[in-house]
Amino acid sequence: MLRAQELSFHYKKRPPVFEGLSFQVENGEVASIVGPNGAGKSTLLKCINRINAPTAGAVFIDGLDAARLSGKELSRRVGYVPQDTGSGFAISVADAVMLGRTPYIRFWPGRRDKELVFEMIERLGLGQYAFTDLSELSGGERQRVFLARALVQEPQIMLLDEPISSLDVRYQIETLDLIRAVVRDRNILAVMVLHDLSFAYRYSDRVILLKKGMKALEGGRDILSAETIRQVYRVNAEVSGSGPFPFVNPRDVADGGPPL
Amino acid sequence: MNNQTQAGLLRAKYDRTLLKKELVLAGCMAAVLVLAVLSICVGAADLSPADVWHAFFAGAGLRARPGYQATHDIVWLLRLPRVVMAVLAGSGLALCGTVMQGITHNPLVSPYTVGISNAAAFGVGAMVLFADRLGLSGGMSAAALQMLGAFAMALLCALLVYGVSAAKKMNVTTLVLMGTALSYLFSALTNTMQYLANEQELNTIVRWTFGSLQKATWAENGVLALVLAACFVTAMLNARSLNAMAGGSEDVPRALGVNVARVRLVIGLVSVLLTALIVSFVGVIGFIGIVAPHVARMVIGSDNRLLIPFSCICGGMLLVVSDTAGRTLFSPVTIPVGIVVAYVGVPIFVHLIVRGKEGGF
Repeated sequence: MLRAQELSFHYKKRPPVFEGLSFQVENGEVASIVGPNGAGKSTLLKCINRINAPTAGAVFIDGLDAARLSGKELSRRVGYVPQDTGSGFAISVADAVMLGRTPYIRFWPGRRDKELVFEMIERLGLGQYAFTDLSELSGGERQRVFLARALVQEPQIMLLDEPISSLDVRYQIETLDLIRAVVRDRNILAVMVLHDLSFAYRYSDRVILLKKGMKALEGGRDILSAETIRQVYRVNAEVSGSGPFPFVNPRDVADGGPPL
Repeated sequence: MNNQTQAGLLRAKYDRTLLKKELVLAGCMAAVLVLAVLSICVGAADLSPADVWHAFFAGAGLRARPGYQATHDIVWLLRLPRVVMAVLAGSGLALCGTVMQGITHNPLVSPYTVGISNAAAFGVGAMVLFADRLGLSGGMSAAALQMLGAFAMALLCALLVYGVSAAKKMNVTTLVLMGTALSYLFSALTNTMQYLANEQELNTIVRWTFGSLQKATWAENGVLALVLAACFVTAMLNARSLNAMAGGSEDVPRALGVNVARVRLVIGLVSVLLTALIVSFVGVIGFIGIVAPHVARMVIGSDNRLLIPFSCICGGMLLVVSDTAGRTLFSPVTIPVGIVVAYVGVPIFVHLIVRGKEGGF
């Protein structure tokens, strides 16, 4: 269970990105952080695993204050999938996924580390690339490598920063299905930053809606209503919650367009 | 085939590759020893491997033979300290290059990027010119003073560059720009020294910038061996963290529980100290710190647990070969190793760039 309490963050000498933000996500749930560009979505995500230390407030993981956990303890509880940043030095897929075991390994990986890693590689359909250089993979395949790396951390919480941003629509659905399946199977929870309101609406149990200078909205997926979308994005949208595939259809720019 | 058997096959392949890499590592370590012995054998006075062996292990009968003492002295006083210094300095510079590229995730960074070589040259120049005039010597020999000057300036420059970029959260661009800027400053200062120097002083300064192992002593080898050992252990203890940091993103290693700031500080200090020490002993040997890590990376991959020791081996090997070539090819003229190293290293480097990809086999 993840609980954020009165969370605030600001960069040095800058106005706060967000203030007094509280929310809670239960095990087995998928939560999405949505909002316009620059609203602080990724910043909020990184406050949860203290890549950014919150300037006020606290994050509790299963009741434990994250600020009191060491980096290693925290990384055994929270897995993180970054936006695709490209790769640095050449590294094979197997080694990249093995990095997820960093919080557990002393020097060389043990038998269990290797079992976990290669089972995950197979499970995510990356077997044929196991010894291929990461940079030779497509964006979608690389995204799955990062997902595998976070999963072998055996986390209770998965943080995903725009996990579908570089994927085609088929992989978008596959990836989100996979995330939801893993969350349900392992009874863990996921918090992801999404731009696609339709997918956020369809896959989320909870939604956190951020906008600069506005109090954040937090609740079930129903907070993504035509009214809030117009308020936050200044876009007229149709929201359909009935049927097996709920969706949000953004129609046109409200109020004659955004201020230039 | 189900997922589990497939995963088992992949695991077996992973283990096999790792074993293969470890064998290459061990083989190359042995090769360094062989090269070192060969290097001791060749020179103005040709020695056989048996002579070298006897210089280490000889019975009383052999010791009493005429000529034994001369052979013994050639090995122990001339060639061995030089070869040992080649191995240590080569390994050390390669180590610094590898870990600095690791913490900055920039393949063009080397120990000299931070401007250390020009700073050290200035230190030597200043000592050559002013030590006597200002009465700084305090009983120390000229060589010792120059070494001290080089060390102090190298350290000062590196700490300046490193400190500023650390204050800027170890921004790689800041590091490289600061290094370049200070490099030019120290270069200008050295040029000023050279302009002011008389012919003999000029000769000393210029010779020093070529880099040479000729004056290696056992005392220097002892100090360097100790510092290198400590730095190597520190680097290896941080090898897994460096692996996590190699991806180019700050967030990933932190999410994996790595204290990025601490690793950078520790590794940065280690490389700065080690480079300053080596430069003050052997002068400027610039190419090793950039080429050895790349050669190593192309052969054995980017895993720092293997890459760090293998880089050291490549660096040591390259310097032993270069120094041997430098002192034998145009004998009796000795070409300084700082020059030869480029002749030996560049073809290997270019070959590897043309031939293949990084990432090892």
